[in-house]
Amino acid sequence: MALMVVGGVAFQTYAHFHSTKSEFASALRHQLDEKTVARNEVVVSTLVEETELQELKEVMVGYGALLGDPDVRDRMETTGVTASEIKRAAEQWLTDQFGTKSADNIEFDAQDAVAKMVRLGILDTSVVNRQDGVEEDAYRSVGLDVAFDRLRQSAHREVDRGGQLLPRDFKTN
Amino acid sequence: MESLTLDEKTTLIDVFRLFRVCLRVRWMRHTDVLRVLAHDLVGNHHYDIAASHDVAKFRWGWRKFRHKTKRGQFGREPSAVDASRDSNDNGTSADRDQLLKDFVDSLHDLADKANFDSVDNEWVARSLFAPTPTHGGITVVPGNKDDYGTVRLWVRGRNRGPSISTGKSKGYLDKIHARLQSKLAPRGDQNPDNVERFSTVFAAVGVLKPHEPTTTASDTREEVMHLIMVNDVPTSQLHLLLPTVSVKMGAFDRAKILFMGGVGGLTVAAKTAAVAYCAAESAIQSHVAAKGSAAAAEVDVVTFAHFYLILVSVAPSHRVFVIFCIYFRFWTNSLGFWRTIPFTQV
Repeated sequence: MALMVVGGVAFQTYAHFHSTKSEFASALRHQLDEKTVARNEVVVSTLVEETELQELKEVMVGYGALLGDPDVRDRMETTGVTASEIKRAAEQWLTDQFGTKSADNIEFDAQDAVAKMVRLGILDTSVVNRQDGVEEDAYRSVGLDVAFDRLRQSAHREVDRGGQLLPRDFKTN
Repeated sequence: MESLTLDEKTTLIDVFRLFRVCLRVRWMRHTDVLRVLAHDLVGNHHYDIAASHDVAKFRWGWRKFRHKTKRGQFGREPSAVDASRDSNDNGTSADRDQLLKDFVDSLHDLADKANFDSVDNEWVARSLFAPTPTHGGITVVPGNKDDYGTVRLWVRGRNRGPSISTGKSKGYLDKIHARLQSKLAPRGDQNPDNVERFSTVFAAVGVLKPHEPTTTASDTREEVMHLIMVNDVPTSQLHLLLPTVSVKMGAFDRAKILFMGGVGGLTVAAKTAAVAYCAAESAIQSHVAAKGSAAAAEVDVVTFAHFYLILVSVAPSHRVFVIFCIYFRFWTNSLGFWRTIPFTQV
């Protein structure tokens, strides 16, 4: 009788473990399958797409924030604005749009966004003297029509470098 | 944006679309380069979770079929296919290591541009492979750190939500434990329904595998990269993304089974010893009655020597003990005492 009790308890413990293990393994696979975005080679394509989207969002937020603020927009077309002003305007726009409690919670990488816009030719660079005598880069908008033409040329240049991925007469509108 | 006219808004949208075209074309070139690298360095097989082996084995038939349709190599394990592909590769191990390093660096650059934060390597080495606490009778074992070459993690964004679990507590003790944990932990971090999670986790894990099945030396092991990108991973469960994660029995349950086994073994041993002792004693009495005191001394020595051997055999191993029990049973049987002593007397 004692042996049966002892064996029963041991078997129950093992059976409980086996059952829990199976359930956990099943739940793990099920939940990871649900949450997995990509595996192995596909991850490379997904990561590139993510990078592309993040860069696009950075430029959209930076450029959109500049054009959306009338004061900043006026100065951007005349004297130019600095990267820190672009950062402030973008963070303020994000705060207004998404209702974040404080602009301190948002960290916008303005230098990166500005560098991309300058490289694509939709911002021009000049040097301004701050009030404390320190020289700083200022950025001026080239205007939407000019920006459109320059980007079209950039797109064709990129296509030429990368092969015939797009037709020569490709237009977005 | 309200200050823009309709024409300006339309042009702005076109500007962004063109910008996207520029980005797409540029990144397509990078993708091609990385894909070539990934084809050689990343395992093509399914990123399997060892802990879910019990479930995976039922999918073997489907995986085998899928393998045939993809590569026309029916009946071959994915790892065997990878090995045969690698055996055709003429590159040296040093070249491959350099390629692997360049590949991981490229992934890091990409992840950085995609606003992922790299998880500290020291933290990965220290905490990712640490044993996890037992919950519900099971312990998740991340695996052996020596089986991995590169382990890099990148994370982006945070949110709160349920953790990865079976979704139910097993018993009252687990429920009490979870409730106590959620009360003691700051901001209810341990509540399994509301844990802090990373919105997206990207893991690049290099598993070291031997070049040939017969080779086990670590310096000949080859690193096969596994990549995975997962959403909503709890910050305390990053180890579940490792391919070698497994589930073991908790220490308490293990001790319980060992204790029960010990008690059972001792019970059997005590019972057998008691039976043997009674049989031996009866044997001596009968033998002495039949042949006199000289024979009694001889039987006494032989009987207790055998009895002693049985007791000693309990200690070294269970198998030896059983062998001696059987031997003792036959020996006493030859004297004819099992027929004279009813089992109920023991």
